Amino acid sequence: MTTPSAVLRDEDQPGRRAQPGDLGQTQNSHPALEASGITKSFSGVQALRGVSLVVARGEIVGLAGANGAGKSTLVNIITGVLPPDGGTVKVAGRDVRLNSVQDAQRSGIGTVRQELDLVPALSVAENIFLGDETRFTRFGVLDVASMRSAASALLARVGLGLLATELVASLSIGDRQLVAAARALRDAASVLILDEPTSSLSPFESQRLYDVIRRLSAAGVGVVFISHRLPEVAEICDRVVVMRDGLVAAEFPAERERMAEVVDVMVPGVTGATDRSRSADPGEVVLRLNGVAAAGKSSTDLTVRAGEIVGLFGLVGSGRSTIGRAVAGIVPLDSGTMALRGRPYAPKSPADGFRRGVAYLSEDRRGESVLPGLTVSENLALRLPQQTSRWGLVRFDRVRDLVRRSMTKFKIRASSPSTSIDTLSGGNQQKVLLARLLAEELSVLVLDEPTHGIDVSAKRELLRTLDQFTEQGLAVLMISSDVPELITSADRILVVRDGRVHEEFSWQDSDERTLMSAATGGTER
Amino acid sequence: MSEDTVTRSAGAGPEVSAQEPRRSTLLRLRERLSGLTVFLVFVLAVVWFASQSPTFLTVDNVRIILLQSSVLGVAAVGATMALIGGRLDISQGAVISVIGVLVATFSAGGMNPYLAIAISLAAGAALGAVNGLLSEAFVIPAFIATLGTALILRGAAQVYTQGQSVALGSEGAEVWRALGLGRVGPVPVSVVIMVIVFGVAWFVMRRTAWGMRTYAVGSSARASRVAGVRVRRHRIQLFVAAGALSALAGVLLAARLGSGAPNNGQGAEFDIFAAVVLGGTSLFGGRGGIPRTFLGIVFLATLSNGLVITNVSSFYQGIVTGTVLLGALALDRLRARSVNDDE
Repeated sequence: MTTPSAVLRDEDQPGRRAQPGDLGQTQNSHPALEASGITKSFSGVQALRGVSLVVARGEIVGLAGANGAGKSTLVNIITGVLPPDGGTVKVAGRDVRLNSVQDAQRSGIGTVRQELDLVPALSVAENIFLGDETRFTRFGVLDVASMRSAASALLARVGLGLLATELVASLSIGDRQLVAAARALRDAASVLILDEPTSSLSPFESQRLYDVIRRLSAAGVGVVFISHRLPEVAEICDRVVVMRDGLVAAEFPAERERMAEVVDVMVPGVTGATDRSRSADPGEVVLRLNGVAAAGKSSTDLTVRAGEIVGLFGLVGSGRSTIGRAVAGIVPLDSGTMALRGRPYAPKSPADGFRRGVAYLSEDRRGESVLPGLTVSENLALRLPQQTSRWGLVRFDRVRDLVRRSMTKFKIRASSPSTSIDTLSGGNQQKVLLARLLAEELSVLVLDEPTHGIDVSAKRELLRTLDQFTEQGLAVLMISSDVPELITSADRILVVRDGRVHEEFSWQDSDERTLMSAATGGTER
Repeated sequence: MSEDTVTRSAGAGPEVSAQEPRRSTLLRLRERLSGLTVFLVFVLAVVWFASQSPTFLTVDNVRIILLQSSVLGVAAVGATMALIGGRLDISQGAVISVIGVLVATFSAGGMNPYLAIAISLAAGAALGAVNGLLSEAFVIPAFIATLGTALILRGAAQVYTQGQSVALGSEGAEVWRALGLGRVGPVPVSVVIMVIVFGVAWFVMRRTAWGMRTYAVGSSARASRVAGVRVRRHRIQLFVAAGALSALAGVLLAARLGSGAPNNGQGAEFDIFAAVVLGGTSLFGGRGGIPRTFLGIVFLATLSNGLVITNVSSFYQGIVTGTVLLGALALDRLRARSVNDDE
């Protein structure tokens, strides 16, 4: 809608970058990182459509974008995790071919990832030089002393005053993050990629990390900083590059006042027309959460009524899934209470939840939903035996009947019920899984990213079926990061941030800007 | 022109769907074929042995092969169920010997044979429950948990018997004789029992909710749990079934030998796994079947019988069995890879 997808060229760079006339004089005059025309597709889906990103020496560039915009793919390519389909990467003016993470590291691209990939059982020094110990070996024997002193030098660079011999297991999360940064710097990195580095840090620890980033930037290291939290991006970065649909959609100076515009670009403006067949008056309250806290996330209240779809919107890591998983009995509550149709509800396991009529569809389709290697019919009828068998015997006539009906009703496209589930597309797998849950009488259905990674037509069919069941009195809690989907299907949308429902919007009052602002804290002081 | 129609009809659905049927039939065919490979090798072995020895394909020798299969066969049913549910029980050989000693001790003490058998089966089930608790409640990897119980059990049997075998008593001797040596028509009683066990197990695995859930749990424990299956409890039940069936095997062996001894059933777990894997049950859970194990167990008994009957030195037995087993395992890995090859 707004800015045309500008490809960032050298000429567009702000001040600090070396002037064109300087090019080629010294190595220092080159940008720290220069990725141009990067393309990548996954099984036919174009994830990156010619992305260019230039980071000058000493510059801190924020990379923003909604889930699925292509940020992770770009980072994975720059850090050697994935090979690009096309495009080039230059580090300090030199072309680099990145076939592995090691390649990237040796070429001067250091990475600090969201999930800490340190080995807890090894010491700080051993972690920093893991995979590269040979530089300290003579005739295969490790020179421990020189490895330690090299590690200490790197620790000093990130301002971490601890012994290189300490075990990583004994460090705080914040210290570990800095150890990861020290490791990223070990091969004289010209550019440092930080992928959601603060997602598990306390505000104090984040500040400490910012100090380190600023210090490195002052020393000439180019930094790419990826974060969902826009205030943080505004604080630490010089410039924000916003991605959308596999392209660089816009860029802004990283100023607090401009963050609203960033949100505008992240999620394009107007919502599609909503055609709602469902009647808008929900029934009694079916599910009530009072101060529910689980998995270390702070406590929250919420209610879901019969015949109502309540959307739960939040960014990855906001704790929205934890709420759903607590309702389903997968994670135990730390504190708080739940009530189902006015009666206390404290499921000890998913099986407990099902007995009370609460079902959950996981966002992790491969890991937590599909039974790989088994047939469509076996996947669909997994829960059915509990209903249809007498003396534990499976009534195959009824199973066949159910499977046939479900395949029609949910529009499952499979060559036959005895096809292996592995051969189905994601959308059809998801329909099978939804049919599995809706085969029995439910009070509450919790859906976690139900349409993630499935094609548009399957998505529409899935949501339509869901609408029908809701019309009949089902209470639905739908966790999603897909704003248009929430606005078209949910009655109310709750925005979750830091494990807590922060704001509630009716679907009429929701638009993507409002939700995204509430979720990122972008509008807050 | 016909190509045109294919493309167009494929365009209607999501793009992958065009390849789905073809790919799945290919997979299925491969799966069938690998089952068939073992069967073909089995037939070839039978033909070879029959051509080498006129006594091989006689009623008496077939009876011997089946009789040799019966003890391990019964135990292998338990192993198959546990493996389909994603669990490995290597204490089966030890349970066989301990229960043999137990039932012989009871009998020697003058206990009614039916009561002795009932208590022994219950004891086997209880040992299975211990394995199950160690593996599921204490979350000790099943391999280690059952290795530990196996060492303890065999040691206990040795301590108790001082390494001697315990003869069955005279009380109810006719029951023991019938169980060990008797026949129903031309078929030995223990073979009848084995066939019944296979039949019941096949029924349970393919026709009951419990059996279906066993496949589900083995295919993906996490997905099964989220779908409301009580995974731990189910796996404990699998260990109980494996323990009870090992106990039945121990009773049959004691009846055949007329005694129980701490060294009976030594290494039986390896023959059992060889048979189960040969049949094509996956070591990774979720795939396999009871009839396949029957084929595996009869195949192994046929191999060892045939080698004896054709005067091949018994020293070669291990080499032949091992080679056949590795061939089967290689097939299993290939198949597992072909299923997961889009990862």
